Amino acid sequence: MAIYLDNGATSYPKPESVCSAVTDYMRNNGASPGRGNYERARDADTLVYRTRKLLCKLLGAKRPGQIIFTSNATESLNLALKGYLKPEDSVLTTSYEHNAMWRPLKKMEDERNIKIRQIPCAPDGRADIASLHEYLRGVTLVAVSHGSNVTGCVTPLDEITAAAHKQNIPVLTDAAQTAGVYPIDVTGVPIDMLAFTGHKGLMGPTGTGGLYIREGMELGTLKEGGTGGMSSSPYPPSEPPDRYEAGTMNICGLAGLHAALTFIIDAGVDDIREHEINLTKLLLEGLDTIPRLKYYGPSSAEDRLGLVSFNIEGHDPNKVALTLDSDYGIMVRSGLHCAPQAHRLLGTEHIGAVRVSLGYFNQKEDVDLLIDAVRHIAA
Amino acid sequence: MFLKSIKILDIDVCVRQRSTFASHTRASVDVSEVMPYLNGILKGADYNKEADSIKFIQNHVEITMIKDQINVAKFANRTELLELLDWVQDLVNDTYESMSELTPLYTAQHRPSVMTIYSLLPKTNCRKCGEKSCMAFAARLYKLEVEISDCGPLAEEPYTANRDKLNNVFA
Repeated sequence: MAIYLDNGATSYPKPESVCSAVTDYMRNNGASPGRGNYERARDADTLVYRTRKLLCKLLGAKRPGQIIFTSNATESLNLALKGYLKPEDSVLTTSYEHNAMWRPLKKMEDERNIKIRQIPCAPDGRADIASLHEYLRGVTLVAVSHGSNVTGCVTPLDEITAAAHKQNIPVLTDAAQTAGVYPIDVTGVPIDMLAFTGHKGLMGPTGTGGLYIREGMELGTLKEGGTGGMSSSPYPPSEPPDRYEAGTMNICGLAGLHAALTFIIDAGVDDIREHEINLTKLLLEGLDTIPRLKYYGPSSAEDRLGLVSFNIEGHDPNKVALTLDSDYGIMVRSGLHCAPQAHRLLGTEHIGAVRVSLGYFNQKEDVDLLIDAVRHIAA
Repeated sequence: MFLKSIKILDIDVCVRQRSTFASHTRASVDVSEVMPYLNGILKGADYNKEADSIKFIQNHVEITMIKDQINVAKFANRTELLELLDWVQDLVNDTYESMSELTPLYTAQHRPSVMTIYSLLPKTNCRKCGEKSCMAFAARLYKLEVEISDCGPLAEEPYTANRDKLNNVFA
């Protein structure tokens, strides 16, 4: 029996309806959306539109045109950062960003001379926002992860957004680890841009993702090309979403994402979150009983995402993960998790950690078996 | 549900520019009976009882309904078209559900001509509204592409009386 506990990388399994939607689209439609004027192409248009609408419902966005489809959260963050920031601009970010945020920022530091400031963090990885107003001085964009893929900490977006908006600074957030598993409302907490991926908490196929952009906010384009409309103009159209979506869309992936979003909305994000909290509680309680094991991040399951990174004193985390796979059939991820910033914060930048990331389809038995296996390895 | 679906029959956006984008659609039912009620609630609608048709503008997009046909023009892209068709479906169904509480209007609403609108504008060609001339602004106001309040000088003397007249005719 194999146990998959790497949902922070990509969720597995996918709902059966997702697999069916992808193959059904490939078998029975196959047309490119936004292009032809025959019925099946128009059906493809409608499918893409309905997927945008479901995302509006899930994220609290008002209009489907505010949802831009990309290939993943990384592309979304690149579009947001490179489309918004100008030379000499100043960005406030956290100390636990994934490379999807960190590397574009560092590149723009070199090429556009942007300034990067980081919000300090408490030892458990939580952002210390007590003196946030001081860090906001002179900042042109706040760009923060919504939830760390290493510490599991959730960034207090409501407080950050309120403070930033007081100074008319827009807020971009990376919801790669939260969309689908944590309640998000871009209208209630008025986020200006939100990057998401379709294949993690949203349970869709890889190669899907998107960027929510607040109405009235215009970005420079990341790519230019065919959009299926206004083709006589040598320039991209001015209106979203076409403005940012040059090139043929990943329609097979979006067909799967449509089915995944339907599944999530039926299941309810609050219920999904509760399921993850319950499993995380069990996981933390179990890890607490293992000698010489240290896990990172908040000790309360309510204060964190359903992922926990840990190390066992005297054990190489990479070997722990390999043993879990080879001897116990348990799949977890070791290393730096593409987030060296977060590991630097935890003091694990040289060895990394073992990360267990739970998903909607995991059950109590999976956590119990993992705890038993880790206990044996640590003994 | 009265209007269950709107099926797109034709959409042409590839070659053209926004000003000529058009799409023809077919509603699942003849919506003629709702039209007088829509005429009563939509600002500046152009209702023709004999032809069972109504034309109106929503967010700069032109919508013409003739029995079970719904034609849409001047939208920005397919997403906007589909969003608008959702809006039309909701509007028709909400209106249908509320017909017993609404007052139908069987006559065409009298919108002033471009020249009448122009005669009530300051005619200074100040360009503060972003248009090249007051005549251009009048033409856009006629098509409901701009608001009366977009003309700043109308809020000042001696033009406020004309602004009130315009507000009355567009009310």
